[in-house]
Amino acid sequence: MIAGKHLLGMRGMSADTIHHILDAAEGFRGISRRTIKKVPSLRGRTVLSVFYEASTRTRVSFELATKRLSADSVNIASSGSSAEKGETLLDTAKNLDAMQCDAIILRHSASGAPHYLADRVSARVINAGDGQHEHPTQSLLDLLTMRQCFGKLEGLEVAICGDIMHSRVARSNLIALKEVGARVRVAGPRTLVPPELAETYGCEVMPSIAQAVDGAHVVMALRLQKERMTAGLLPSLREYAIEFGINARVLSRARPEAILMHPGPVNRGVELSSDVVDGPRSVILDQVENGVAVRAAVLYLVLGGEAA
Amino acid sequence: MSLLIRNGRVIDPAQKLDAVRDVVITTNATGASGRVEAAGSVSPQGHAEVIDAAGMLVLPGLVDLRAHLREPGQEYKEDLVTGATAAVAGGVTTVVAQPDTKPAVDNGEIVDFVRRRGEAAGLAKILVAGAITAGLKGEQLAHIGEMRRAGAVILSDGDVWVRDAGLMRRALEYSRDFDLTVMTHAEDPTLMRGGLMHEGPMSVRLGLKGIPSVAEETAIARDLALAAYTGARLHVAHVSSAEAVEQLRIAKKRGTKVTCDVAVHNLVLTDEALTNFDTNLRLSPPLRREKDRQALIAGLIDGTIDAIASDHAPQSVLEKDLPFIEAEPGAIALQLMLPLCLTLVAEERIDLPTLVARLTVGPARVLGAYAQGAGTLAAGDVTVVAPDAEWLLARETLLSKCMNSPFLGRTLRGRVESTVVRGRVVYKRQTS
Repeated sequence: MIAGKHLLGMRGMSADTIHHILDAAEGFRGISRRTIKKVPSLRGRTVLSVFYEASTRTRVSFELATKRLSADSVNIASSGSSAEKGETLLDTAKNLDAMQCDAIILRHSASGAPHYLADRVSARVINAGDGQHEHPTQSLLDLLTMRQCFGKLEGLEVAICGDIMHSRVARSNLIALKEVGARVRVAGPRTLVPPELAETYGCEVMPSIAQAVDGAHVVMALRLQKERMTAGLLPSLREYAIEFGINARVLSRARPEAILMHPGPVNRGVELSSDVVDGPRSVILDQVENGVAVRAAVLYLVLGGEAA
Repeated sequence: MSLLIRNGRVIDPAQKLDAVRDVVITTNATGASGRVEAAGSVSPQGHAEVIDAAGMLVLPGLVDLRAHLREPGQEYKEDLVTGATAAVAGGVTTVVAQPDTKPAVDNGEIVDFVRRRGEAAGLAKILVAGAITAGLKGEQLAHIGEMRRAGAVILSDGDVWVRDAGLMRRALEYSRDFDLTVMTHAEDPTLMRGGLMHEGPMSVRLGLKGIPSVAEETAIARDLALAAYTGARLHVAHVSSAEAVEQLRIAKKRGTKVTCDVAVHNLVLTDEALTNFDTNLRLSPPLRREKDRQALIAGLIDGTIDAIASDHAPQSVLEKDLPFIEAEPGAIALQLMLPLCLTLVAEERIDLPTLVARLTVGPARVLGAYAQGAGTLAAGDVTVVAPDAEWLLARETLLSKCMNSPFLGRTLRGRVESTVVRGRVVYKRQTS
């Protein structure tokens, strides 16, 4: 279903395809738990990771996924690459393409950068996060985690809280969750929650974090970037934690079986209080584990394999 | 010397004319003039050139209030010759060159340079907009008197708003001493910092920073207040939002001396077009929503908007073949303005004579006496158009140095056949 295609975003991906990828990911999760964590599925294939933005989780999980599938991987970070010498994305793309790789995993601060690359290379492009646009593999791993916890996605009530404006994770999830039949409410300070969200994504914009969390199956907090203070969008981290942070009291408004998610890295004591990060509802580390499985599934399927 | 254009549908809004007629252009030592005669009443004998315009539109040469022609300083994007070549191929016979060159047109010498280079090309008439502030920096007044003496026809800071309200007030006052209109690019930078496209559902979806309509509307409100207070003439460049059109409608009703234009792309496209991150759609002002587009067309029809401008802004691949946030704004339009506008007539959104008025006499009136009679056939500038002819907008057909058009590869309807400037045929379509 995604064989031979680029993976640029969740937009346009059908519910069937999403479940197909998640099914494949379940298969790969088993491999990570073996002593010998390697299968020969992508032996001889070359995967390039090009990260123009800092990343730990995404970069490492893509690299582990590549290695566990026995593909050859090369990692390029913007520091230490020709990007530092002012090479444009166009020239970087053309040169990488000339090296005959099968897939390029791209993380870039510009929204639309993977689309730009996809138009100019023969390799398959996998978006590992572009600006404030999309982060499809994060969304897939979030859906996988939800599906594992509740056995389904359809009908789930999902609260996405915090800096929606600048979040590619929120955008990909808003698209994907609607497609699979979940209901999404969003909340956060008005400076970080564009009023157009409801029209754009068919979600509900709630007037407060507490109201968004009320009766939710899933509470997803987003990372607050420190730059938001200097941009005049918020007065201080302290005020954000008090007015918009999620602590045990807020979380108690969710369903008894509710789970707490966060794409990481967490600002402890800002968007989430430290006790809920480590608390019983937190599935933050399950998300990380699922990240490797989902990325393996994506690589495997994009490079032409069938579901394991 | 004379030129006869026979049997075309002659539309000259300045003369309230829309009928099949013959047009005779005579040229002598003092200049050119055009007169309209009954169709078939003029004998082809004795004319240096005869154009058969049966089935075609015969219009006054188009007047464009805003084109960024890039010379001096950025000749790799465009120069005054290629800009003028693209203009006449698009039926535009008078072009006001914007001062945002390198260096900026902020003194008499550069005005003189641009004017002379334009004249030497001998194609479209190149008129010069002088800077409002030195170096377009918004810090002190440019040499406005000196620029007027050298022939500047209007004042403009290009794509920059004069942020300092006190300085804008002085610019408006001082411009009155030299009978110059001040053209404002009304957009408050503090409301659009880092903005790339219209702020709305599409910008949210694409994760691109938005430019809200209020960035334009607050700037227009300030400039209208200053114009009313100083009694100076203000021209608001490329109005883009529905609310801005309403602001201008009210100001005109109140008697403020204000005119305005709309950029052609804002009439034919909306932000919905940006789905694929095409950097040729990164424009300033940004493409807005359908309700804004409809309000702009309504403003054209009721005369709130005086003119359609090309806002021709050539950018090379160095500025455009980049991820969206790194690309510079602008699209070329001199050669495409007329066919793009004609789509509005084909869709029955506006009638042809009104459209022609906003492309000819409308902008000419903004320039007043400095238009030197342009905007009507009487001036001897003519555009002959085959309204139903279709043509492919390919790289080879574009005469600008840059190819940054979202319409590249598309088929356009309405083709300029001949363009006449001062009685001389400066463009004739090559028939293969």
